[in-house]
Amino acid sequence: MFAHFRPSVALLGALLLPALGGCLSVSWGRTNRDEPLPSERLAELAAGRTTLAECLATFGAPERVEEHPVAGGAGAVLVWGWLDERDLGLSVSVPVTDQNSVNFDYRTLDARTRGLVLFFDERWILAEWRSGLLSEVAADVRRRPALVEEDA
Amino acid sequence: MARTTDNRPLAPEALARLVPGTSTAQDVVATLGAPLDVVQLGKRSAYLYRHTASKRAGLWLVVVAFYNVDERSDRIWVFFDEAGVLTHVGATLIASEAEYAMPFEDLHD
Repeated sequence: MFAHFRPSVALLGALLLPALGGCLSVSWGRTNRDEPLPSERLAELAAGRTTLAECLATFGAPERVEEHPVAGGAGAVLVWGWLDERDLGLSVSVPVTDQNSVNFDYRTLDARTRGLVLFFDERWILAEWRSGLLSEVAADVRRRPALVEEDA
Repeated sequence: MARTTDNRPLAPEALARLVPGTSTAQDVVATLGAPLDVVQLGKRSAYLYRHTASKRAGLWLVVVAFYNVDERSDRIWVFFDEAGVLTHVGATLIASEAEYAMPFEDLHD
């Protein structure tokens, strides 16, 4: 009599079996952090001309500010970032014995941390800018270690 | 549903009292309090003030779960020259716009 079962019914049964036991779960999540900057305003950025005051008025407060060494002094690098991360997860837990179970976890993670990085010279004039994934465009932005003054 | 906040909200009226070219670092600290971060920029400096609001919403339907996290911040960066006089102010005040939502809703559109 089992030969009369369609394959799709058998597959459905196989999927529902752990679900009925409370061992299958599907999750759909999303994380938003801050708002994307207006992309049309990025086109107005002009290296050698745009000032820090103009950028702060246009984009608001950055997330990070770090020192940026330039010829003859110190400039600054400003970083804006925003996140729209989607998370889809499927988790299956199958009891093996009374004391143990085996877990399988399949997870796709769509991390989209994007941002804008602006480099300013010592006169607060924009020298260079980058936009895109922060993991790429801000990879070299680091805080300079603090100087430790030693007693003579 | 859950809500978390970090530091106190930044008041726009306090921001209005900061005048580039006139206010000093002492005035800024008296107005906004102790900064969250201080960055040395050669002989100049910048202070960070930040308040963050995060709202989390979740819905569990037996074996299916939906959840969403929306986090927005109030941020103020103030820049000082070598003499400690305020030169620039950058402000973003959007912490109050954090929302409870589901993952299929687009909050940033």
